[in-house]
Amino acid sequence: MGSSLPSKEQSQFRQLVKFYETKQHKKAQKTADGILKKFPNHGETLAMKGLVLNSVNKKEEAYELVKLGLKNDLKSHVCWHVYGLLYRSDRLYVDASRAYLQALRIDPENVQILRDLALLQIQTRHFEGFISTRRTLLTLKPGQKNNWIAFALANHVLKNYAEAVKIIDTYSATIVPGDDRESVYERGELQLYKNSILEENGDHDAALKHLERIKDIVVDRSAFLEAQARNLLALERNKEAEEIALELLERNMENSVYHEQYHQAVLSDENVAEEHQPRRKIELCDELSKSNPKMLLPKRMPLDLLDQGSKEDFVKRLDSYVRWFLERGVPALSVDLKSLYRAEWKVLAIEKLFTGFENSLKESGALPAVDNDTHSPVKSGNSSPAVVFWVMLFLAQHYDRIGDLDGALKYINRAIEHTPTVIEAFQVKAKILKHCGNLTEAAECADAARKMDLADRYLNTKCTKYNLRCNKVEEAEANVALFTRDGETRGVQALYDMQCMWFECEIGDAYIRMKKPGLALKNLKAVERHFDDFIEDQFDFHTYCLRKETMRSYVNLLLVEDEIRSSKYFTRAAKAAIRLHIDLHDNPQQKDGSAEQAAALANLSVAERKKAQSKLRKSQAKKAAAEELKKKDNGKADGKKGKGGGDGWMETDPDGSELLKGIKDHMVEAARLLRELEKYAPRDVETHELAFEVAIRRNKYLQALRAVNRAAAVQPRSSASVNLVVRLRLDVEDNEEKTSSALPEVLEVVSTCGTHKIVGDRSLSGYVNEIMTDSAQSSDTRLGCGMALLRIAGNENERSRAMEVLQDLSGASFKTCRQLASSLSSFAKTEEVESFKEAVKEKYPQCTVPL
Amino acid sequence: MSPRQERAAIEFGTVNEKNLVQLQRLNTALFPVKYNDKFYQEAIRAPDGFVRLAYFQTILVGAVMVRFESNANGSSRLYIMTLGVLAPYRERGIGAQLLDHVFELLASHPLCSNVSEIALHVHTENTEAIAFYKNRGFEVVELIEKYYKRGVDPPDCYLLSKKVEPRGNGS
Repeated sequence: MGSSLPSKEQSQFRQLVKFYETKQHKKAQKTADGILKKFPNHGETLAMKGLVLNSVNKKEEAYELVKLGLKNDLKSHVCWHVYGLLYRSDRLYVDASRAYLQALRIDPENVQILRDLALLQIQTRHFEGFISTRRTLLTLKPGQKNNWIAFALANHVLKNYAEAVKIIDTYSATIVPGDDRESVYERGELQLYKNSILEENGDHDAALKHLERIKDIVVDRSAFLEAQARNLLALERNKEAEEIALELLERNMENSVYHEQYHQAVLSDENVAEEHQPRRKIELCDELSKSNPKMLLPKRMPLDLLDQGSKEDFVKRLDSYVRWFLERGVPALSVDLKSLYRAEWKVLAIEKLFTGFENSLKESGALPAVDNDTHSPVKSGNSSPAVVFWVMLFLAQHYDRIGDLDGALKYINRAIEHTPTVIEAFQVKAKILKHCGNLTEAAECADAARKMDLADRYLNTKCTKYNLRCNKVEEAEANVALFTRDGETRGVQALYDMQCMWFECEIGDAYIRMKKPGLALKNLKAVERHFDDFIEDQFDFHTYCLRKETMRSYVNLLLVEDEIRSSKYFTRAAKAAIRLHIDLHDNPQQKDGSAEQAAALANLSVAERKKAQSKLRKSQAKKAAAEELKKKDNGKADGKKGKGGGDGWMETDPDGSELLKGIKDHMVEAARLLRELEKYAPRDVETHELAFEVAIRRNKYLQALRAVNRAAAVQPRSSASVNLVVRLRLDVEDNEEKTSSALPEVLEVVSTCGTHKIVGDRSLSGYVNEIMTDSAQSSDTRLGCGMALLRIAGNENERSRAMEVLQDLSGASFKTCRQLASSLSSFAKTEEVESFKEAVKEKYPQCTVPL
Repeated sequence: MSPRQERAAIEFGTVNEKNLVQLQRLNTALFPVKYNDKFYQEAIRAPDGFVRLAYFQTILVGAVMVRFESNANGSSRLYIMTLGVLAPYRERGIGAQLLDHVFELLASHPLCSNVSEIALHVHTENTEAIAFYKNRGFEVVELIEKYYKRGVDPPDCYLLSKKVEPRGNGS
């Protein structure tokens, strides 16, 4: 380092590096300037100075200096390394690793650079590169334990299981075991890691033998037993598996995985035929329940397992199960029973049981007596008055869940009248009102609940959400700020710092409804940025976990990170952003927010409007390009101010107008987000719905075709798929005007692989009608088919038939109705949309939001 | 009155600015009089023990609020501003436990050493309450006509009182 300098400056240079590493940026800069006074062209010093400036957020200067340094000393590995670090700090991993590799060409055995490169390679999952870097590091420094473990990991992720195990063994043989707790723990963890590799390799026998050998050093007993159970089950050593599963159940009887393992072991051992399995499982639960009467899960599981043939048994068990909750006043009962609502007959049984409770309480002040059987010894005498309340609260939630909102409101009002001091009741009422479309009162009710316990963050959060649902942004921000840390950080920035994504999603939706695209985009973008951060955060663990030898957690982390964008927050924000981009593409006047323009456009005919819109789009694109140019001119000045001022991301460009201006083509941006969704949410039919919308606007007919086929593969009978098939036929296959400019080859593919494959010989309406008849149970599909029929309808007669389907809203939730209204307005006639909205208002008279 | 039942197990709680609205909801359900914000702000600042909430199975079902009043002649009394239990939870000794709490204040609270009387106003129609207090040694002292301003019919009330021996400073 700094070798071309005289010895005095050489030592100064070494100091410079030290200052940088200890984050003493001012001193580092001073030292660098000192050297540069004498040797203004010294490449490595220039590069180091650049790196220092980068740390104090002077990006532009940093890049200039580093590049200049490199130009002056192309043969220096330091310059290349610094160049890589600079890219790395901007998360440009590919560029960074290219620079590192260049540095290594000059100094192939530089451990520091090799380590940095390895970090990048595991970060980007470039496993081939990772293993070779790791091999080099191990050869260079075999004395360091991290190098062994990391090399084992490299083999593991490449599925060289045998090799990975061998490396761990070789390494373990060399260490002298310490007796202190920490080193025992570390050894146990490493062995459990090795064991997980054996298991992953399918070598269950070896895994079990290994477990036997390490049983005395493993601290995490649950993990140990779980591994034993899994491996024994895989080998069908059922008797032994049963024993281990029972041991696990004794440790924790409320873990459903343990129960499942136990059942699997016993059932395979006894070779129980498929149709008798539920019965046997129930028996096993009962046995456990007898010896552990306080445990809930063994009592709860049979309720899921029983079929309609055992209705009486079901009712009896349900009765004694729910009494436990009612007598203790556990508000979570409704959530606990949710899975039972999948079976219609169970829903009826629940309703009958609870209305029976209600009547009995009314008449005799007590729950009905139970035969004194094994399940529940019930005391005689009057029930606590609170039981009446909990029964009414449950019934309110029950009717809400099955869509009987009048019944739900009746019960919740009676419950509140009975006991007006229970906060949960107000929460339940807020939820019911929300389902009624009465978002205003729902928010008021959530606020009433919040005020009853100002120290409860959950209530505050719910209230904030309900306020946002009816666009009360100011109230929401004020409320949510009560629980963010105070000080100079504003609420929104504090929430951004805490990566509070539910809030950003909700407020983003609110701004979309309020036609504030900049603010909406800002918040949705914030969510996307959090995920970039989550991925970047891995860097800390690549070094930390190897040092701490917590390999099992580390491998889990890598797996989680691989899929992290499939999280509901990411997909939700991405979907909302794509919809916003589509809207901004279709209605570009929104971008300037000028209402007059919108009003003027509304008065034009469709053709005229389209013309005007495309003109507006073009002029906006020009404007954006000009701004871009201007920005570049001001680049240097901006760079100096930049983020250095300490403003958070939400505080710079707080209304998102810059962000919005920066997007030149909304369809390109939408397509970028879609690529993420297609990768991480391919099972979500909405992904393909949006893909179609974007493809059709970009005249990408093959992509549109692909979207339709994917949607049909995921959910062939859904409203989304049916409508996509119909639209592909009408908007692409049969629309010669639109597709006239497309390549004939493309159209050829669309017509051979298109809707004909799905629709077959039937007419398009025949296809829709068939699905509608088949899915009479689902109101969503029925209404979706109605919408599809309206798209197809060629004459008034067909249109009114389709409208008839659409106006039968039985079973449709308010949310579904709202979505339908919005979809309809994109293609239906105004009077049709209006009459649909009338039907919705009739079904949801309390609705307080515009549809 | 129905036969006296076993006393239900309750837990006492205190009021603060975080849960004040619960007390308001309770009182709104219990009393025809609507108390103003000042009344509740005083409740928060009341001396320790002068406001007690009663929780039955974690539900707030009752409360008592008392005030210390000194008379011109140097004697003083405890005045019960509110004492009530939600209707479905009555007949379980919860009100009695709240009143017992008032007696305990009298016996041990430093402010109460010279108190010679407990007093309260009861709506003339509230026979249930009148019986409750009479059972516990209170007497009707006075009928006050037109005591309530609005929303209560008839607007009259009784003043109830129970004399007690002041425990004095030293004891």
